[in-house]
Amino acid sequence: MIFRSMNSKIILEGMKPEIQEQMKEEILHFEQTASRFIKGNALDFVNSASLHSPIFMEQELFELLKRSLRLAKLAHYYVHPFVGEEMKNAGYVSSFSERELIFETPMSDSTNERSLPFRLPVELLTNQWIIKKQPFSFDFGGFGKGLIVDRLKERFYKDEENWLVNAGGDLLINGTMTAGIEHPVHMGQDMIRLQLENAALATSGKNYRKWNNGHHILNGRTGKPANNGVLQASVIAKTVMEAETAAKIFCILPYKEARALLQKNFPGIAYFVYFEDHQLVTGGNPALYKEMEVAR
Amino acid sequence: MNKKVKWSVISVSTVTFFTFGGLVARHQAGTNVQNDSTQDTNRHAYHDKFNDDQGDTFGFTDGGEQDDDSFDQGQSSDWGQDHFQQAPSGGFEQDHGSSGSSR
Repeated sequence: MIFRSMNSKIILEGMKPEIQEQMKEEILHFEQTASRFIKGNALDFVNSASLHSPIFMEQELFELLKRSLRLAKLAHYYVHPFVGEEMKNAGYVSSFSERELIFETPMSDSTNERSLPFRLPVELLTNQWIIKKQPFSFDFGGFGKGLIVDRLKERFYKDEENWLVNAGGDLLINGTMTAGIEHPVHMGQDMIRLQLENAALATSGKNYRKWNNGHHILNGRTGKPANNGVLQASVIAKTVMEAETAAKIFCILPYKEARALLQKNFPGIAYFVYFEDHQLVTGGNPALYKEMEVAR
Repeated sequence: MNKKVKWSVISVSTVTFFTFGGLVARHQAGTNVQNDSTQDTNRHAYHDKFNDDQGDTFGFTDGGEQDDDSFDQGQSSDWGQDHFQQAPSGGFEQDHGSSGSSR
């Protein structure tokens, strides 16, 4: 089954048709709650709320916030969900499926200021209640897509079945299946094939969703597009949320720093990093995949 | 006699100060949420888990380290060496299990 949701092409393959229907329903429902591009939804309500007043978040959205914050902290807030305004300022004001981006002013990158101090602009009061302490709006982006796919795994996992969910390149494998990593230059072809067992694979890159000199991967500590010489990074992890966060870190920080941070805080990953000079680096835990084949 | 009066005044002042201080602190802790012991406990739990990067200076609580962008190398996992190679100039045909930049 193939359909569009969350600004991405969603592929459900290998599971029974009735399970596919249930999964599709969950994904579409989640999109209605958490998409930044749907006016009047639960996220829009939170984003429009005023400062210094208690705000109630729907359970699903609050769960997304909690899981995002856990990962953002491990990522030293180079990746976090408080970038809605920065994304708008960067020209990402509507869904990519709706129109091409128009952004007249060339964007500066964050090479020279990649580590500004970060303070949480929100306080979690108690279950489902928060207070905005500074002006911001949420853009959960990959966190949101990761959460809904991870939840499908939590809900529909079956030991004896082989199936996959591909949410715009964020992949979740139940059982054992072959996965590919797209070539960032020769798009439409896979540069690597490997076998995954009960794992997630996510890819972030600067070769897609870009405009003028900009792209959509922002350094969370500066609010500006990251420029670190990495064109694309793919990460295998236990969950899509982890894989997605780690892949973004590789696209933001200088490679050595990204590797050191991830080795410390995300030790259970394997990675494939493609640099702008066309070097390919593989590393991490090789036990997470089998039968890797690299194209020529 | 003067000494006794003096110590009495000091004692009463001290007790009054701590009592007043305690009442003020208690009042401040209860202004944002209802005065409910369950909620109060929950709120403290959230403070512990999520709200700990609120200070004027940016600090991390994982392991009590400060964020100075210097990371320990090779302490937490046995990743071994990276493998560098020239990227392939072509690729395989894709199927549904392909992971690319967000599409």
